[in-house]
Amino acid sequence: MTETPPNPARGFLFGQRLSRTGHWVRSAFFSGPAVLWLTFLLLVPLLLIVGISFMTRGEYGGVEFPLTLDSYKRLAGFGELGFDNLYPLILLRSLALGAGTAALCLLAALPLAFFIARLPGWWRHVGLTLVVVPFWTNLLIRTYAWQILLAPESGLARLAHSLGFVAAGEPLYPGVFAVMLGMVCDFLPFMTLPLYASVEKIDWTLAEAAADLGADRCSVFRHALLPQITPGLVAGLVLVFLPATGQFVIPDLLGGAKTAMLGNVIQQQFASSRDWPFGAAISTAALLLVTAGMWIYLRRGSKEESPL
Amino acid sequence: MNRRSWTLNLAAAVLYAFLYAPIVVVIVYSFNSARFGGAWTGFTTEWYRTLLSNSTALAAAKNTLLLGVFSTVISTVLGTLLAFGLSRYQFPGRGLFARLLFVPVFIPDVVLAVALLLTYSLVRSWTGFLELGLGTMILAHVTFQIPFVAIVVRSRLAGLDSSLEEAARDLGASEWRTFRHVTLPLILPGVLAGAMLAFTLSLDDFVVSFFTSGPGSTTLPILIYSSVKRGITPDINALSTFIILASIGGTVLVALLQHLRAPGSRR
Amino acid sequence: MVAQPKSASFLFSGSAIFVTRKPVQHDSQGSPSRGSVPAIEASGLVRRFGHVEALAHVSLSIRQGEFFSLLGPSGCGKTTLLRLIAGLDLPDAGTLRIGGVDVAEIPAHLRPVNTVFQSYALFPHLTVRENVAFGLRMKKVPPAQIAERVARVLALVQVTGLEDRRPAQLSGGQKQRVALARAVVNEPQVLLLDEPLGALDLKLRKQLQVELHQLQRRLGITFIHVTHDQDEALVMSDRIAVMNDGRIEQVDRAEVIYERPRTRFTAQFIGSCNLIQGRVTADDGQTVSIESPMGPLRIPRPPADPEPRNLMPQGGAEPLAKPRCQETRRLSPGFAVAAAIRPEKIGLTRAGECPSESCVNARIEGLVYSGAETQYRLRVGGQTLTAVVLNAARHEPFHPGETVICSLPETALVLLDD
Repeated sequence: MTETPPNPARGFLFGQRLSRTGHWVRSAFFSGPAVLWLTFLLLVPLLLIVGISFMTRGEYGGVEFPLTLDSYKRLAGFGELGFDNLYPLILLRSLALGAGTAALCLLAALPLAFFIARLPGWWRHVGLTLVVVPFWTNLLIRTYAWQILLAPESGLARLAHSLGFVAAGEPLYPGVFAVMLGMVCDFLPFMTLPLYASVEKIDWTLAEAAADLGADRCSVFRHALLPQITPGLVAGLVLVFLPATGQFVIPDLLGGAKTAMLGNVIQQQFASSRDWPFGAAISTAALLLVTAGMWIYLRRGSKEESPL
Repeated sequence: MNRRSWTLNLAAAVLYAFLYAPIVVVIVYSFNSARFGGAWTGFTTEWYRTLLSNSTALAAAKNTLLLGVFSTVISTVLGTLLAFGLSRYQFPGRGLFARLLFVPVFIPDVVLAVALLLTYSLVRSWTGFLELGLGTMILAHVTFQIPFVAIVVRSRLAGLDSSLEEAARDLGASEWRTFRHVTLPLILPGVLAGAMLAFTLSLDDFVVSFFTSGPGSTTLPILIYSSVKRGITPDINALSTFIILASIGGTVLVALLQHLRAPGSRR
Repeated sequence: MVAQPKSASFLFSGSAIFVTRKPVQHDSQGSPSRGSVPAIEASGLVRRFGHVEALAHVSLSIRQGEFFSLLGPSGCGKTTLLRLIAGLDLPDAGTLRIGGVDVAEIPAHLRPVNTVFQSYALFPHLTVRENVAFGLRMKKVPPAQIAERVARVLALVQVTGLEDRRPAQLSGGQKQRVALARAVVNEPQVLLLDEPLGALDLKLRKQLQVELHQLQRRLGITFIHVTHDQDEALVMSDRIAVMNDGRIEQVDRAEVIYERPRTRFTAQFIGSCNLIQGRVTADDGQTVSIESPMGPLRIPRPPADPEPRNLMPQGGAEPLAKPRCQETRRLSPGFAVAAAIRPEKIGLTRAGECPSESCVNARIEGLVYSGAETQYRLRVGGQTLTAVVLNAARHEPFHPGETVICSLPETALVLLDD
């Protein structure tokens, strides 16, 4: 009955065969302004960053020729003063913190998503909205709040000390622990929302069938449930891993010098050190990471509604 | 209730507590009479009174709202037009731009911020324009808002029953009048949701604002950051409480918008 | 006792040959004939989707004021043809004229046609009144006139009192009427209906079939109606085009389509039909004699057509691959042909008299009782036939295994084209 819908590639739209020019004129009106905007304020700036990363640091900040790979060498640890693992370490630390955050968020989001999915009717909206509220609340505020929560005189700190989790006198913050806690708290909604979207659509009869066939709980999850929630899981992992890896605010407020991450180093290069090429090189590395993540995200295939 | 669902409920309760602990502590401490430190010394509303007479905070609030409103209006118009243009008309580079839309979703804020900062300073050194300030901040905010608006509106467009637009054409509506009288009203909830998202992103943004702001264009997040760097004070908690309440209000509004039955949607 | 072959069809009575000879009635029943220009004239229309030909050289002429149905299974191209007429899609080849005007360069919104969509496509953000007024508003009709015409047409389709509701607050039948009103109010030359009753339940569908038919007679607008429901097409249409695989198999009045199908597809898609394969033994121009697995059969050629055939236009854009047996004057002996006979045309009697010329012994192999009639599966020589007999208590029901006399009236046998 319903045949293939009109194919826009044929230059056809609701009974009008648009010429190439016709498409261009309409594109210029509809897409034109935004395309120009994004070209000059997104595409060009990003290309500029990539370009500058190959230049030499100017004497008073700024950049100069000749083109060089020095910034990348320095990022890989081969600076002017011989091998220095500072930057490779920062790179690795960022990746590790990003991956750790993603893993912990996944661990936390799984029960949360299943909990919400099993709520009856109207309560489900409430449960979901309760996850969305922190998501829409200023990240800066939610982050600095952990300074209060983890302060030495706070209940949480005293509890940790009395339970012997940390040695007396050892503060909970600043440090890797605080950064991690802040990250997981801040990014948990990013994982929960796409995961919930998948969990909600689960066909439970598959799990029942698997259980009927004698699968234990572990196998039921692995073979009957996991494949169904994979799209949401992948989306969530990407949505947490990428921004966590490039985070600036959370390590800045909750970490010390020992927990500097990509974002902090980039900021330093442009703010205090004024070494633009090096900052640009780190940014380019981050961009490559983003491109890879985007590729995975868009390749998921499923056209789930953007959780954002 | 069996043991497993009991465990699940407990885990969910702990996780909700974890999510809300920072929000609650900020609100609670905004009523703490202690000027410094974390110990609870008594209830007071003094900090709200100081806040309302704090001209820096009021100026920052005004900047934040100006920035949010202007950037949201621009990005909503441009993003909506872009979403429609991308889904209906061909032009060279269409595929590239459809992909470019996702860059600001994933890119670390710092990278976008420094890229814009560099571009501004380059343009400034050539032309003398683009002095850092509210103007450069609006340019920056619109840049990361357009893609979010376009993505939201596009998903709404994709869910639109194409026979509605065909019916309009069939009934004698020209291309433009079909857009004006049928398509636009039908995607309006998506446009509003996109605008809400853009506005919230603008209010929330600290990093991009921080890099592209100039003297006199301090926004609330920048104010909070610099205060926190100096040490948390109770009036900052009061300020944050206002922002948190605004976010909750916004979230409920968006939730209501989304749960209204979407007319013209196939789903 | 003689069991006459009885028509099981509730639509027609009397012998098949009488019905086919009935003159064309609809023109004299008040539907206006507006000159000789066809409402729709398609020639050689082709529409491809990728490698699939949704329409393969379709040529068709639809008269002014006609209720015309495009009937065929899913994916046969009927909706594509409708969309080409509406201008919602464009052909890859061929020409299309509406009221004599070539519409190749006329976009959808300027064509004098309106569509009732399968899903109704009512604008959810507008009220019933605004929906119906939409087309007039787009044509910049003065508001006072819009109000009056909308009120009139809503009364015509019997939707009054719902003017301020939104489509979401209407029942399926009400939506259908509003969709009809929204199209009809523009007074198009041609009204296109894409499975308009498809989403309704059976009872409402039957009722609306009659109403649609009456509405068309009152308005005198050409209706082109797409359906996959043969009953609907037979009940409502002046003429039917049977479509299959992007081609038109046959265009004719309902009775002719049913009684004298030209192709296997038509014979089997509309109603049920027995197909008998055979070889020609003799052909005297009036009657073709064939040898079939059930013995020799004589099949009279159809009488000369009272009106020129509409199947393939004079241009002959798409010649059939095989010779058309019904039209070829003489078929040479040995030529393989197929004949069709409707199950209700087969007469069954107990041993004794033979009511018609072609009588053979048949064995009952099985039966299905369905209230008003019983369907028998027969074995005749090497041929299996299905026969339907009205349970009119003329005789005791036959039993499986019983041998009966089976008569095939010559006039009920149809020689197929392919």
